[in-house]
Amino acid sequence: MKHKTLFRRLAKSKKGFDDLADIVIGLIFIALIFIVVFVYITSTEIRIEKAIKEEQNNLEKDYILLNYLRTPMEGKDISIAEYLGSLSRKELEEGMAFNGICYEGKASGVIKEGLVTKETKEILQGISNWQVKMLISGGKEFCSISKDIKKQKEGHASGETARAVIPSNDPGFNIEIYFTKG
Amino acid sequence: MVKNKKATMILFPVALFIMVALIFFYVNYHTRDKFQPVDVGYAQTSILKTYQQAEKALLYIDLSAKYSAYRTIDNLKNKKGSFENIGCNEVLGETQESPSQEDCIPTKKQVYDAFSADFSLYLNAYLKKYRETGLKQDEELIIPLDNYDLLFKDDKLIGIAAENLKISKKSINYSIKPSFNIDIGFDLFNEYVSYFD
Repeated sequence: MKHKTLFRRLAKSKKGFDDLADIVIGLIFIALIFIVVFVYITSTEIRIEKAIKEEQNNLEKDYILLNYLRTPMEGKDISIAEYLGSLSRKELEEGMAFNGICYEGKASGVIKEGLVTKETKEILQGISNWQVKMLISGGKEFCSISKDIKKQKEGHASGETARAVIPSNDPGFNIEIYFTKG
Repeated sequence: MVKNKKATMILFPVALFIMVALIFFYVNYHTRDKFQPVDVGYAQTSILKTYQQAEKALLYIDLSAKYSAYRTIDNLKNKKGSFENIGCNEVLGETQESPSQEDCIPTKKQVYDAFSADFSLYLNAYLKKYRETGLKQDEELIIPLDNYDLLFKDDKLIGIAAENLKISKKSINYSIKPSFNIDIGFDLFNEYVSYFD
């Protein structure tokens, strides 16, 4: 009630009205500045957060890729990197034709997974969306594994996240392995 | 506000202050480094990335050393233990008249030298082929060649690096000893001794 009377008096006198208008304009200004600064800071923070998250994911994938290559294969005394390195160029090139290193073929309609695929899926099961591609340096891909075999052919790689080069027992070529965002 | 004398008195210093602040902001804005959101944590992630690049190179060296060792052993076996540098063309084959058979049995040092020479050749060939794709134009990764003193311990081959593997970047110089310790599956010297028993 007191405030209403005060505003009415202010509005009646010209000087009071001017002062009130100044106060209102000032408040609007302050509010605008506050909103602009708040939006700017928030958007910057979101961008920083996104950039850091992406960088963190890439670093994590690098660690996983290295661990994956060093992991011993089930039933063999050698690591995955050594297993891939032990394959001849001919074996790898044959693998290119029908993904033979990753998938050994169809058995009663179901794609039979190769050794590398089983190991890969086991190691990467905690990651939501992944795709691993293997190729001869400068050559074609000989193996591509993704989480969902059915989407194997449909899956589009949307950027490389981690890459490693391993030597082959045949000194004529190297093997490259990389993770892509599924 | 302009009609109010008190307000006019305050308006002048406020305007002056804003002018000074604007000039100060303008001058400083152009002299400082450009800020980008990704700069936050850039140094830390760069260090981790560099470390991982070195780890990948170390994995490559380990595997290359293993393959090189196998190739060297195969090579020596294919030559049936021949050590031409001591005047023997074939030790395990037909007995030669001259030089005497005893001269043709290589000493441990000769086995070691022959192994080291071949091993270095094969390993160098592998290391020359290594490329790190994650480096920018002005960055480099250097794996030194002819860099190892070899040591045989039971079934293991230990390569002690003389020089460090180096990764040079704009703000980071990373260096690590690329020594290796690999299981070659048998004792080289015992294997050779068994040839001549």
